Amino acid sequence: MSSSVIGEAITRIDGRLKVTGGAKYAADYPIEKLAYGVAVPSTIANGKIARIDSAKAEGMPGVLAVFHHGNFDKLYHPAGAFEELSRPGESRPPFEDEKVYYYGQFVALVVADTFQQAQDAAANVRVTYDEKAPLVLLNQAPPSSITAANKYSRGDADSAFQKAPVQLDATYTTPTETHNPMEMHATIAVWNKDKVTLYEASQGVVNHRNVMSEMLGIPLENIEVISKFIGSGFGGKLFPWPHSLLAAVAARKVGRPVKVSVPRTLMFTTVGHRPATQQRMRLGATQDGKLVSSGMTSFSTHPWSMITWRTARRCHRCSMTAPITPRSNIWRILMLVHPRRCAVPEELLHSSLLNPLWMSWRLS
Amino acid sequence: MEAFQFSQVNTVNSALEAVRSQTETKFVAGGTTLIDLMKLNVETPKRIVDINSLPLSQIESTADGGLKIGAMVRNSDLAHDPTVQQRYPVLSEALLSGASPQLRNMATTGGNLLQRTRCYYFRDTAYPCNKREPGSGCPAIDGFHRIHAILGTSDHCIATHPSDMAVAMMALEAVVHIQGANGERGVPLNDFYLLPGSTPNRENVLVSGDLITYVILPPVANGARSHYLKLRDRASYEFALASAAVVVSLSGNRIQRARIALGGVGTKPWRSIEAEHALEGRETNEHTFQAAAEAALKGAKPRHDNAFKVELAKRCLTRALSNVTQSA
Repeated sequence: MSSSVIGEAITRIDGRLKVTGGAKYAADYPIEKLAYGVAVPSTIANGKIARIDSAKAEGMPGVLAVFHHGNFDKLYHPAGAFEELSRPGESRPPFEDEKVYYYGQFVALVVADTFQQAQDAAANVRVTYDEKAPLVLLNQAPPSSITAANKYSRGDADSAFQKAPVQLDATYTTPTETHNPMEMHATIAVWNKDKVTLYEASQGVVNHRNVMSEMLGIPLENIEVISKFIGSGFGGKLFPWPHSLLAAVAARKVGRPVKVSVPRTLMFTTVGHRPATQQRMRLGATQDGKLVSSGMTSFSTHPWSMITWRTARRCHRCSMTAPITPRSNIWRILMLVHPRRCAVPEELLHSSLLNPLWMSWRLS
Repeated sequence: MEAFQFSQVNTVNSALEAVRSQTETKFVAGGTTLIDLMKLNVETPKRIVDINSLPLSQIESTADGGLKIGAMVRNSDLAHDPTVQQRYPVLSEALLSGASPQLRNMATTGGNLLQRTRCYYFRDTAYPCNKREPGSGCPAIDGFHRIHAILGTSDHCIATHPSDMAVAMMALEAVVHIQGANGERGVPLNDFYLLPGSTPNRENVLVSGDLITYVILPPVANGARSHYLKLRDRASYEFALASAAVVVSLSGNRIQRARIALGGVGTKPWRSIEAEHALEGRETNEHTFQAAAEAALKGAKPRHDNAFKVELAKRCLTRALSNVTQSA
């Protein structure tokens, strides 16, 4: 094989299957006696469920069950160690208690013979809440504590910055961003005695199986996770989300296979996102483009801000802090591909009149 | 979505008959607003009358050189009509800037006039909304309102009218023809829409039993130029943050006549007589355009998240005027 792949059109192995409908996504598997689960999302971002009135929904045509924190099976918190390949998207089991942590959190699940029946009944589940003021904005509560763990420095970045002939001191904000691939999240759970098969929109079937084992409390060998195609994921399908557990438990309880799909509206609230960030950059450089000082203070709507340090930390003299923000009432965060790291050096280039490629090389 | 009865009609009379003394009944044409809102449980009509078979799909020139547009003319057909493209480019441009090709293939002239707001709170039944449930309150006023209106607002509602087509028609001084229980009437588009005031649930002068049958565009003056400019968060399939429909007649480099309407900033498609006064009789230059923009936005009431719209709308209007007066 000596031919170059650069510049050549390459046929994707699964391309034809995907565009002709031949590729089966998780929600596409034809399963006999399939029942449909439609989740009821919370309409508040912080507080407690006061009451769930499911009487009307339970009496509607085709409805098999309405599940919520009052009648769901016990689930377990996972160990959650990344290295052990057991990482959930959300470590709190669904329907664990009456607490609401974010808007769009699943608070009930209607299971019915058809999708339409389940959807209709879900719209008729009445949930009332004791609501508390939510924390949802980046600057709503000022970041406070700085500990050794969220601080890093090397050399004297401050005085190097003061002496630098080219200086950039700028604050950047980025908004919340969601993955939202074409194929929405979905799970079909099929039990055969004490073994369960999960047809899953997953970018990591092994991790998915491991998490399900821990959270359902059943042996690894009793779980099979099938994900032959995904309609992209962008990282949003790396880790299991609560709908997968809802499908598994609901299927066990109603004694039929159950499909739970995440509708597009809930793709913005229940299956991970990249949090909003604020980053103050202080960069000092020489006229010929050598970076002599790099400083950064960053925080986000989640305490995971240190990830933004990765590029800036490469400078010999650097000073980084990531003040801890209070936990916000925004749904769970998750990594999203395409890191944004280039904006600041580009602005520095405008000040120092350098070739961008050369600058990148010097940063590296 | 709630269960509903469905019927189809073939004539205007049978359509009127189908809704006579019926409450909670809606006509459906393209369905691009109504069906969406039914899926969200925002609209819950008990009966739906399908008017897609009504013979109202003609675009005809009128005796005086104007244009008669049937209520069922699809947005795509209207946008690509040679007469519209030639005589009313502002309308064609506005239509093609709206929605997506698939939606434009469905959406109709009459339906688009009745397009509902994209206010997040209106479209989410978990929230109160004075437009949806009069008297329940307006969470937008103290909530997120980046897309909301800065002109024509009230203490009860700040929802933006989302249509592009209606903004162009406002600048073209269109007249809406309505068939109702008491016969036919024509209403100038500027009078057709109501300001929210204390009754944001009432968006226009239609009453139960009314059907829009066609829209009349008056003839354009010889040599008149027109243009629609739309500014938005992305280049397609997005609603206007600010837009401007401009129709001007020039004499040399002096503006004889101007008709100005703004979109994306008003609780209704926003005709600006003030901007027109600031333009007519003046020379075409940046100073004149800026004065018109200042006049158009003089009454703006921006809020925390939508304050940027004041400047954006001004720049939109000056750019639209600059474009239309420069083009040959």
